[in-house]
Amino acid sequence: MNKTMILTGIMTFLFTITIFAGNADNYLKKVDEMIDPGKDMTGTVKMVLIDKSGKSEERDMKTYRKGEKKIFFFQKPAGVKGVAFLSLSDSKMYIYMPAFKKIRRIASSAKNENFMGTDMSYEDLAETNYSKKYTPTIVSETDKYVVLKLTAKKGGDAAYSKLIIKADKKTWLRKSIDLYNKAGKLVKKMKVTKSSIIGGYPTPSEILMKDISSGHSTKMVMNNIKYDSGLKSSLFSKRKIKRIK
Amino acid sequence: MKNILFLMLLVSFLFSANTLFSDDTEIGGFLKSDYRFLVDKDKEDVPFNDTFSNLHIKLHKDVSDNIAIEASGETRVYGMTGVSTPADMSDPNKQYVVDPMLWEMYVDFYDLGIEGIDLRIGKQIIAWGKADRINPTANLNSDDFSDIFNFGEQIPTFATKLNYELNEEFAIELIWLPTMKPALMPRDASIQMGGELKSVLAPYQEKLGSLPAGMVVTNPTVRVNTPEYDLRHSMQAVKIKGTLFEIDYSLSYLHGYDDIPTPEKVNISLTTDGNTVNTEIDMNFFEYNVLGMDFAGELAGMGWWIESALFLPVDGVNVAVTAPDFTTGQSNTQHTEIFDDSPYVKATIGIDYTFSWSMYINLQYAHGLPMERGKEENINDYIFARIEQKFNHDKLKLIMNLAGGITNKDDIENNYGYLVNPELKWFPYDSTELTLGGDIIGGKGNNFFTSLESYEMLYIQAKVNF
Repeated sequence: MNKTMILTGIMTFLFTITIFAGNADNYLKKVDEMIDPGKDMTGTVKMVLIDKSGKSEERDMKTYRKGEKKIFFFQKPAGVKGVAFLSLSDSKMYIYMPAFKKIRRIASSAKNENFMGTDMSYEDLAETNYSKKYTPTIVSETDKYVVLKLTAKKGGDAAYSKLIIKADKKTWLRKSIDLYNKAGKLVKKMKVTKSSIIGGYPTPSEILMKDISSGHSTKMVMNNIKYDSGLKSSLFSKRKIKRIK
Repeated sequence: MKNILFLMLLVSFLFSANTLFSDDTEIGGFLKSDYRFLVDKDKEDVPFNDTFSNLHIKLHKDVSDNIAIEASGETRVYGMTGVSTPADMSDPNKQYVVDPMLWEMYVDFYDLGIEGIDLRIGKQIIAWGKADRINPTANLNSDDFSDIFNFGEQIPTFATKLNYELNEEFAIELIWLPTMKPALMPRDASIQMGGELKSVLAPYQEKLGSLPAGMVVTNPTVRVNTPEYDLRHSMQAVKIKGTLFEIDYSLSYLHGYDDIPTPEKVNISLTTDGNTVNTEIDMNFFEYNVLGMDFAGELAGMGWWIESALFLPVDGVNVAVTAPDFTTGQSNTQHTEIFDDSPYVKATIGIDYTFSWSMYINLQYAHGLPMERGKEENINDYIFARIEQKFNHDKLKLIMNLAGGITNKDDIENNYGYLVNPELKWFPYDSTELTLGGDIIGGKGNNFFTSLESYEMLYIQAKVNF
């Protein structure tokens, strides 16, 4: 009898774990689908860099996306105008520096670097799919939100050791993310402060990323977003980023 | 005066371009100003520009989806004075040496006839090579030695470049330059061409130094002869490039000319009265073919690159020196070989890595620098390191540039050189950069570093992009 009870207990426990893990995987899949919705997307981004004392600087960019391929092109200020970042996949990123007329590949050691002085890293901007690099577990869940803990898969090339993502169960937009470095220390906090439905897709229109240690933060304001405008795949090439506008 | 007029016209054109064309015409550029202070007072008589300023203005216009034009002008202002006569003293334009120049000027055609074909015609920089600043395959544009510490710069050259991207992983580039252009040398003669000339003339210097009393040796007349301006003497290049197994690669071929002249003929002669010795020197640019290749990729989070060029001189360089026997008066011609047509190689291998604490390291080994050429013995080995540490969200950057070279592996103790260049960069506002730096240079023997030993300095640099 005792043996049967123990066995039943174990089975129930394993079943529950499996169900939760299955749920976590499903939830993360839904979050992934909403990172880059639609076939393609264009838009403008205003990045406001705010230091600890409240002093701010602005960067204006244009962004293009098709599938997992992304381009960020700086329009302002003059010091970075023409700089273009091309992400073809997690492992293949390039930057075009017009002053040198050269395209340089970004080594993965640099992917966690601040992108042109902002609080976003190259990897943050290029992120398209958490499921590939992280294993999710559910931390908490309500009717409205689910909080997932994402742990970097062993042997993978995730830039962070752990992410705590709070997702909206209606839109599956990420509402906030806590980002932990490889040493397990909380280094950044990301928060979606505004979102709307554009072209039928839930879209974050204002994001705040804060660097915990320096107090520096970056506000990203997205405008003029258009989905499914039929961007050509050939746009996402080293040849095109030299002249993208 | 013509220069100043040209500059004024160029600036007026660029500044009024917005109105002339339309609102989407882009104007930008930068203003850079360097102030340099030599630290070794014992060497204060070396030729030296204590200030070097640079105004670069660029105009870009997308005429349509398939056509764009770009023009840029650069004005370099040197600290040295242009005053050489009493009359110059009343000319404000002679206070400083001002060099305005047309920088780039080209038209781009995109997807010309077939999608993927781009054509660029005009004065342009063709940036070849995956290495960092020391690019053995970049031999299309002339080297810009006008500022000795702005290493690896090149100047734009008139060219036609056709690029055909067959797919995302493969492209071919065809380039034609109607003529070669010589390297741009510094205004202050801090780098002098003609190292080979000194060795050729050395045996004659002694004779010229012990001439009978009353004989006068005039300053040499030097003629720099560029190749004929015709199709036969044009430069051509082809390059294939792409990505294979996650490695970016290119293979190239160039037929062209070295951009630093070598002596071809020296004629030392006595005038008919027998009291004056004239020296005439003809210098030419030697012709070569260059096979190049470069690769770049990533290994264990580290970026890496290899760039190499095999130089195949068409002919050797042989100098004919005609000189009189000062006792008999009869002329003899002797031939001195500076280098033969043997091939030689230049290569750069490098890695870079970014640490999680925002420190960036770039290490390069270079076999050969831009000014080294001709034969394998002239090509030396160098190590370059660049360490950057960023602070305060890229507002402050501490940089340490290190370089070292060996010119004779059998006698390293007496044939080495080094350069230590610490820099502090501060970006107080957007598009603004202030730099404080210094150079410590040393070594033994006759090499690139020891030739710069007199230029140990502290410098302040300001740059504003607009």
